[in-house]
Amino acid sequence: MKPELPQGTRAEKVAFVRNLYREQQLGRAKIKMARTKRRWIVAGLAAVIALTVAGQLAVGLSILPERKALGVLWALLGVQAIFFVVLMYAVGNLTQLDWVLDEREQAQRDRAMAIAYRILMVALALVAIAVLIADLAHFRPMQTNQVGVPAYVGQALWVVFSLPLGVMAWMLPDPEPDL
Amino acid sequence: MPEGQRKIHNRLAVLRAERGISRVDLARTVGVNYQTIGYLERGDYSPSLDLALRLGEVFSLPVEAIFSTRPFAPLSEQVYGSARQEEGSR
Repeated sequence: MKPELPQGTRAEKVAFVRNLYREQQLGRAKIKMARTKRRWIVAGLAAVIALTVAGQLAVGLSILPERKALGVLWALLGVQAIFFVVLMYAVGNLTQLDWVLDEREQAQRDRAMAIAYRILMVALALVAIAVLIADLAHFRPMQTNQVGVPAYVGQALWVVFSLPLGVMAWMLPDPEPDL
Repeated sequence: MPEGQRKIHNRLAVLRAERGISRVDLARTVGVNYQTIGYLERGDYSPSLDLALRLGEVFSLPVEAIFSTRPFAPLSEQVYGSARQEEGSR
């Protein structure tokens, strides 16, 4: 039977739709991939991110020709996006908002966020130290038109965005064997 | 389960089998994902008081009959152990 939207205030209608969606989600498996596979994907994503940053630095330092390298860098960003989508599928989008998730899923998401935050703090501190040292040595890989500050900031933003998902995919156990 | 957190033991799997309720049905009744029931049964996740009370309502049992900080004795030992004790006291 098709559920009918109740007559009432907007808040009541929103609550009804949310509840309906949440109920539909309860019977669906959120974790859909074995942990080993997920860990390989996280490792792959980390490797591609490292490769992209290395490529950006190489272009910034004029080690690689900008025109040729740009295509490769865009391709690497595309690969990162593919890894991200696969990870979203693998953990069943546990990064959703509170009203979609149950208490265990919220706890797992919050734990992953907390770990990701700690990793980011350490990474940010290391990057800040590296930039300071590089600046003292007049080592500034940001001088080109195409691969400048926005490219580094964009990559950093992508890392911030995908890290909690990666942590979650790394930590979560294998899917439930039976119903 | 986060490190350092005390494990909460439970009888959910036994109760569910006894009443013939699937994980999906139990999950729908208490409003959680069915995978969460699996986590609870394995002791990988400790429920909130709200969820524990809802589970108690489903099985019509007090919370302490379902959850405990100490491991539950096997059901056979509880049933036949007490029967033997009664026979011994006679």
